[in-house]
Amino acid sequence: MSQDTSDAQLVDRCRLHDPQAATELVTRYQGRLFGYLRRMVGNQHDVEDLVQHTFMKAFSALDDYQSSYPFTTWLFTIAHRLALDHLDKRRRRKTTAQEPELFAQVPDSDTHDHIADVDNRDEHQAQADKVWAAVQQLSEQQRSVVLLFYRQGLTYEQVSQATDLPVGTIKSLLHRARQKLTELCGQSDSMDSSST
Amino acid sequence: MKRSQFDPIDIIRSDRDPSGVPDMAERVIRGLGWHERSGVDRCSEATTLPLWPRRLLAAAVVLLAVGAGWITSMYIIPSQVDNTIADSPVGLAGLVEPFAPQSEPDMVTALGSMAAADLIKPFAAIIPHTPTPAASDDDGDDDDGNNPARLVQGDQDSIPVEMASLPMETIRTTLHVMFPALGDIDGWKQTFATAGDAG
Repeated sequence: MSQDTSDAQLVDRCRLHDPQAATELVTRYQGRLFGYLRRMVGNQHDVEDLVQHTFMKAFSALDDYQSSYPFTTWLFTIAHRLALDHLDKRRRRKTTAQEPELFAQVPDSDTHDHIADVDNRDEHQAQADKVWAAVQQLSEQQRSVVLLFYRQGLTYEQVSQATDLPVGTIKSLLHRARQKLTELCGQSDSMDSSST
Repeated sequence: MKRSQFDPIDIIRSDRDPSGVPDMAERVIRGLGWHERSGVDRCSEATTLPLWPRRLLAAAVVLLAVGAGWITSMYIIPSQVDNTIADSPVGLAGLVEPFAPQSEPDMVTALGSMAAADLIKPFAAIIPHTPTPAASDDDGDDDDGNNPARLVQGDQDSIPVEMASLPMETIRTTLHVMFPALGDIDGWKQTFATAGDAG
């Protein structure tokens, strides 16, 4: 299938249950969904299930999709809700204590315990590990808007649509998240300096 | 040694997304049950037209098919039946006889009766009947030598029928069996009912 085929054309074909169009959309966007959900949820197996459910919900509820928004916004709207539901269920199962272990399974993500080993890596990778460890310490809402706005490149309005929060709240969450990240990365930087 | 300061947002922006899993699309499609595709789906794949022109085209095709069927039933089939009967050397009774049910012997004779009673006139354009030449003067012939009580197959077998002995319902049934494709059965029934009542 041609890469020139627009998302809107593929979505129209998905409304007719065209598996080739669905395959093309999955191929285009599963990487971005994996990237978002692994930072939100952590566990690789859970992420795979959530990505699959996101696509299935997105395709089966296309009647509710507003074509004024990009298809990616529709995908991240569903992925965001599924991620929050998943984290809520996990919390209710009282497994939150295992979260550092779950995130430890995700490549590129790390915890403070692992940060001590960064001397063996190149500097950029070490900085990335620190940042992602700090991101995991943000609240779920802060983490979500940071990932959607900075990592996935959605606009304020699209993040607002995906998270069902007002634009003003999005800006406020982003501001606080930046402050906290700077603070956490500064702390870990100090820890690295003291350890060397 | 103090490390250089860095912006966490730059790190987040430069993160690379994973490639995902190879069978994700298949898992999604299987989960949706989209493996079995309809003819409409295949048709839509073959064209880049939006949905509404395709629906309009489909509606036009259906209308054309219905229209063609209507024209065929109203004009072409009756015309062909018309010609078949007109060309037949045995006339209407001869056409009826092979198809008449054994249990309905009156069906054949009903047509003869109609001819005899001049009820066949409404069908004059489509049902030729050849009067029997007079065999003798005392056999009921009229002045022209025609016997209205006989419907003749060619020059031979005639079917003498007493008009009065046939119920009108038999005539109606006969016509209905014979000419379902000709359309205006109700109009013919009315004609025969009127003629029968008058007779």
